[in-house]
Amino acid sequence: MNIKVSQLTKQYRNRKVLDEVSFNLQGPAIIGFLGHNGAGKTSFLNMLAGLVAPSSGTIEVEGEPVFNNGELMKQVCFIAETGNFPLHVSIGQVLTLNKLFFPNWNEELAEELLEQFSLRKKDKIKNMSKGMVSALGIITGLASGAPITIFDEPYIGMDASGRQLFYELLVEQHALEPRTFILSTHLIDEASNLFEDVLIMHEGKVLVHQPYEDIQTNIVKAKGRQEELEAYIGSSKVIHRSKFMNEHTAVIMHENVPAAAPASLKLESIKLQELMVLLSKNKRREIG
Amino acid sequence: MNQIKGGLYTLFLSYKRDFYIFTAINTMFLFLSLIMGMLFPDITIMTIGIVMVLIFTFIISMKLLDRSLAILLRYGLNRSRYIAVTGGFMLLWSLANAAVLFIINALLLFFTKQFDVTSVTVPRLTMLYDNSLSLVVNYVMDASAIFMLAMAGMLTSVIFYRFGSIGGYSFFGVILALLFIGVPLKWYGPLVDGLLSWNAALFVVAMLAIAVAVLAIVWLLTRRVSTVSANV
Repeated sequence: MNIKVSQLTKQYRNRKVLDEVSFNLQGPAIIGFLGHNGAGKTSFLNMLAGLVAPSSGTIEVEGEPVFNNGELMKQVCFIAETGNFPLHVSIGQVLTLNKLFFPNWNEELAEELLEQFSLRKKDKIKNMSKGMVSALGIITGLASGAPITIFDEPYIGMDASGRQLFYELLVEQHALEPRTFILSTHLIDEASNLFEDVLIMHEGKVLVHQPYEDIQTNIVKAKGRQEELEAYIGSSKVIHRSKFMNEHTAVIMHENVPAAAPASLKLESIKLQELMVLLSKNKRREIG
Repeated sequence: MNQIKGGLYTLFLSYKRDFYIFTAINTMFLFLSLIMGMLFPDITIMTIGIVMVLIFTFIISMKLLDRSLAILLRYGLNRSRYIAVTGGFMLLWSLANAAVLFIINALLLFFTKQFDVTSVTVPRLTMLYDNSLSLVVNYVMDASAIFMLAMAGMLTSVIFYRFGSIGGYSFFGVILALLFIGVPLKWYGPLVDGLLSWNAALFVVAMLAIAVAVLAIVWLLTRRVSTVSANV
């Protein structure tokens, strides 16, 4: 599904959490939605799910505006950090509700996932641990079959093995039935291998929106002597520079696939987490 | 259709516990009144089941938006469907509560007659018009009154949700001021006389019309409401 965001702004009183952002997300894909706290990720995802009205601009899915669009929203499943289910209901009742709300609900998969996450149908939400409620959110998202499934920090309170299980299931489900998964997370290093497309936000603006493969090939960390490094950088954008003894390091963002570097230069691909930190730091410096 | 069904089921699951607990307590108090009447025949006791239900419904409907809006919008309902679901749920709620009151009132009347308890009065809305009106007519009146109060509660809830504490309390202040101003200006005498000059059917229609009008205002106020309040 194609998600088109045009000039989207969200303002709460004097604070602009999204500032005229425009981009397209093309599914099916697993899209990493990254940024520091307060970057505007959750505000955007809330608007994509139709929960919050934009101050200006639009979000369209397949050419239809999402806000207040009940028919379109049947195709969107939004799993947030918390508050996804009424407190006094049991897991079994949540599954019944999901069946009513999601037209592509996969009951068989839901039952299977309940076993994998060791959840019992009779347990009530209010008596469950944070990790268990998160697991139920993940089950809901995966079994919803919604063409756009949004996970906004879906694994609060889940241990490493639970998160690993989630990553495996996400890839498995995406392979079986490709759809648009949007995953917003702070555990970037853990999840980065899942992403096909990455969008990094900072203070209401989009800093990077590229396929993950392009980031891996076009953004590199080069180390070596200054003259060789400068020659290699050419007209490309430098995100970060540092120096230790005689060794100079630069994180370079090439427009296209970079030319081969001299043998004396050491090239490394950069981790997403590091890239996000450097980009945010740069942005802050620019603003400052 | 499934969204509407799902919405109603969500609200039913969220509120059934409150309904059971309240109904149990209210029933207990009403029958306690009967026992008190039998033990102390010199004291006049009035059962106030409907008043308790009206207060409880108002409180419940005041919390409705906070408790259900985020979840139902996350499940994909748009705002109009959300209002249709909550309005429909409160109508069912009113019918259910009125049905419980109908049964309790019938039992109380039966027992007071059976045990010849004269000190216990079971007041009913129909008494405003005609003592001889049946309990079925009273059921319709009770349900309409409960529904009207539920809509008033929903409106209050929306006002607090949309305009925050300052807006909410200001609104309450204006309403209270109007109520107090009405006393010296002698608005209530003609109002009560007018109401009593109607018949029961007209009274029911008026209550339902007010409820629908309030629901329409609630719908207007929620057309662009966010699950995150504007006060964030």
